[in-house]
Amino acid sequence: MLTLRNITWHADPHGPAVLRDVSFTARPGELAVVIGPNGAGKSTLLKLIAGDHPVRSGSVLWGGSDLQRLPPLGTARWRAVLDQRNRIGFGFTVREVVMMGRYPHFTVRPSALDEHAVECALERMGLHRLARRDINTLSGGEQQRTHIARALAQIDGPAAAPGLLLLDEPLNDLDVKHQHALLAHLRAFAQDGHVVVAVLHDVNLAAQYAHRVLLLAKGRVLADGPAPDVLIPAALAAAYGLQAHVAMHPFLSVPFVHFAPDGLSNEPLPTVTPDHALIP
Amino acid sequence: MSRAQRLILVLSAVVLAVLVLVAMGAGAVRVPPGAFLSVLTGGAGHDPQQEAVVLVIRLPRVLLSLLAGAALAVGGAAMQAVFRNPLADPSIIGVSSGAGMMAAFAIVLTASLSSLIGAWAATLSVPLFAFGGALLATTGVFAIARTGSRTNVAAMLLAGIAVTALTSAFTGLLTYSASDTQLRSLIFWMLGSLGGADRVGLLVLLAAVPLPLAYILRQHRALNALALGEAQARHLGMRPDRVKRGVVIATAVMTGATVALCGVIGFVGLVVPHVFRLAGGADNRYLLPASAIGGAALLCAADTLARTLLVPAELPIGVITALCGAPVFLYLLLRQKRTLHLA
Repeated sequence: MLTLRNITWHADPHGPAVLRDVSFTARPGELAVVIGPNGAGKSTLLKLIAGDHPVRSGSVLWGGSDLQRLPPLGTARWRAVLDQRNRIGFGFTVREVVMMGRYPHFTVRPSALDEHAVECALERMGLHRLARRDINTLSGGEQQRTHIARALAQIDGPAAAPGLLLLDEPLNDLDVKHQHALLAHLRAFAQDGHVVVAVLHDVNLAAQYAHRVLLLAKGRVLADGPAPDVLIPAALAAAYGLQAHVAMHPFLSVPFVHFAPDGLSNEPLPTVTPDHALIP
Repeated sequence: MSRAQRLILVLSAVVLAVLVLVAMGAGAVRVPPGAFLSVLTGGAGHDPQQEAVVLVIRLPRVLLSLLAGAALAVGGAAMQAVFRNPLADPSIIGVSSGAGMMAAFAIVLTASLSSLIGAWAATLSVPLFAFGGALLATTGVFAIARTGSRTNVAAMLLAGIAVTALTSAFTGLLTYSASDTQLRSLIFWMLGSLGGADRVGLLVLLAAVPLPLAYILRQHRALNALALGEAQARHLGMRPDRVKRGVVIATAVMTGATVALCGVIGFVGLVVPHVFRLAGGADNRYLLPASAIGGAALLCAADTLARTLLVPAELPIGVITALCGAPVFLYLLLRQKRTLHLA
């Protein structure tokens, strides 16, 4: 179980707090999604859990022990991180990049288990046909899927303890189909007993896939809980500064949020006549 | 490692073995491969002159070229990985320029030193000073780029440029004040030569090269992970600061010793890793051993040419490495420039 207790964090000691008194718990079996406007502190929160920033005030606990005091190599066997920006110098192949996820598990040569984990991750991200390609010759979405596969491979295997998967905007550059495929997989992966925390921008995808949504704004927790409890007009309006209307998803029993600029009246927008010449 | 990468490694090793046999055979006294193997195994298929030439002259020189080539090429591959920059080579941490300055210092002062400390010590003073200069320059670069326990790679790159500029200025000053004879040995040193190869030199490189080389080869995972960036390398359980420090020190020791003994042999550290990267990919698990074999082969071939092309004169080896390697490099570059990605 991942527990954050009263985290306050300043980027520089005299500047404003990026996070203020944030407490949050993610249990094994849960896909937790962090949403909020730019600059809300979502990435900082993830970086604190990932060990990129030192925790100065408050604590980050993993099953009762201080996460930042655990040995880095051992931790890398069950904690994987997907950064918001992923660029790799030099022309590594897709397979070589995914294999990097297995580095914590072997010292000189990969075992059969490592090879298997890489194959599974490639298959899962639909990359097996691109496995031998130079990653820098692929499209942005394909590169992103490669880095996701690397993170998935890192905590694959018959680990007794639950894994911790942290993803900062994993949907960047992915098309709609791959967005849904990834979130469905992350949800299933969490249900296998792992903790998954993902930062997303799409409120409706969060509503559809997350077990739990954390709404951050200006470094504070505005709401935390199941999507229907968090995605309420007042909280969304406060976070994003937009009018929010919450309806039901047409296919699923989850909320579906419509945003509109503040101050827009309820009058219907002028209807646009479709150009029939373009739609045969 | 993919099958193609394994194949490249095996083929390079075969080429290297052939080049060693050629190097052993070529020169004033011909030693055919059979005679050479008979010398090594203590057989009867050779005459005493061949044995003397092989054991006293050629074997130390060829082994020296292999060690020096492997050190320079692996040092280049390692620096490219640490700096995440395909244009890096060992000189980026000040090794060559530091060694050059101190070698110039020793050469220019030899005239006054030899009367004071004896000719024997004076001949040793150039490599000793050069090695000291290499380590000193690298230490300087490190000290400038360091904040706490972290070393900033960008700061290190710039510090390397600054240290190189400074030491080059001193080298220029010493060159300007050198006599004609000093100037000649200075220039010869700057262009590189394995002419000074003897058993002592070989022992020095045997002490300075294999251990750092083995250490760097073992760091292939960490050096790969660094290509993702330091934060991501840390997420993969690596310790980027420790690896960077270890690899830079190992590179400074082995290339510093090489430069001290053989002078500045440019181009090997930059081009050998490039050629193998274009041929088989960037994975350091393959690239580092391939660079070791390729660097050894290139220097072995270049030295054979250097000492046989203009007999009895000897060409500077740095000129040969540049003359042979640059066209190959250009060819690869022109063929692949559309798909080439610099960091």
